[in-house]
Amino acid sequence: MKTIKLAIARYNPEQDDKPHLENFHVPYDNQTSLLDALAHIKDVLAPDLAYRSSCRMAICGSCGMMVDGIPRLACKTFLRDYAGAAKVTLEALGNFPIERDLVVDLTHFLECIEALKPYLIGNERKPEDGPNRQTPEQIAKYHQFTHCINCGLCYAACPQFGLNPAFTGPGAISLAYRYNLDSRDNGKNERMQTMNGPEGVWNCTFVGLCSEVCPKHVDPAAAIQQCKVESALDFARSVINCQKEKEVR
Amino acid sequence: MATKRKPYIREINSDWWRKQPFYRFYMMRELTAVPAVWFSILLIYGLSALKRGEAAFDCFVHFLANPVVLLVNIVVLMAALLQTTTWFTLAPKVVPLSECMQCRVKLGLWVVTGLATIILLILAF
Repeated sequence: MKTIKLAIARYNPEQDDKPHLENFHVPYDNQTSLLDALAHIKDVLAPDLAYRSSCRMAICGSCGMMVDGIPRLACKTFLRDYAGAAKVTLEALGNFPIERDLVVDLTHFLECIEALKPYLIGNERKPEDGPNRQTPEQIAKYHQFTHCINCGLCYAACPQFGLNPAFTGPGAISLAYRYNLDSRDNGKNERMQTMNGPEGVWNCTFVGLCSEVCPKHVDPAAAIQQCKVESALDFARSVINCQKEKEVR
Repeated sequence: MATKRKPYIREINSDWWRKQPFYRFYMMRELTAVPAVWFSILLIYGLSALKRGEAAFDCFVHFLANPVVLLVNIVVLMAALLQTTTWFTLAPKVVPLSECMQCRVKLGLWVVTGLATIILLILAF
């Protein structure tokens, strides 16, 4: 078997002030994923290595990390694609606080998802009413955004989130937009308050790398731009309504 | 028990955009606004010269023929073409469209730009 050098940014909060690179030589063949290599390191070379993983098939979104500076899922990255490279550098997922080695604190991302209420709101149907049917056109509107696995790669790719960690961010906005587009939902007004706010959609400058790195081919950049249109229309409506209220008084 | 947590927050330096080709291209895309400012000022100056009379406009045309100004304007044209290309790629994303429709819109934008350019060139010459 061939071997490849992995340089992993290690950080032990009990000993280190900042992360430092540690080199590991791991065997690989055509089927070895980066996640397999990390398992080998943990089993054989460094049992104290910390990283997250679960499904091994790009569904759980746990194993996001920076591979040579690009956010990737370790289970969907194969070492054969780095054959010939002097080394592959691994770091914890960018723009998030590092807890230990390759493990980051995703609290902000999870709080943003919660704040944007990614579930059907204001639908009064009861189970006895039967299934709430949708046409293929109605499903096509939001279908791509349902593929999001909350891996956080889009946050690691977003320089605006790096510069302003309070930004709601691409993943959470895409998820909110998915429900705004759903014909069964009536909660758009509740979500737009966060989207229109100071940490909402207008922080995005359409860099676009979030859509490039998404392992599920979701287009968060498009979702945010479409939300900007909604936000602008919301503002126009509020101005008109305010004018009407003044006239009534 | 006291927590052993000590989350490490990575600093973002002002040269963050130099680390990846994608970010470098993004910055170049944004920088195309600067040549557009120069050309806007040039156009306003040209309009003002037109208003002031034939002599002033001849002076403006003479200024445009200067090799340095010509070179600058070629750079401006390149920047405008880059901006147009990236804008036409990104613009269809602003409305919810299928991938097929996005390609059609992009093609449509180029066709309209091409026709408008041809008509303007015919009018100019």
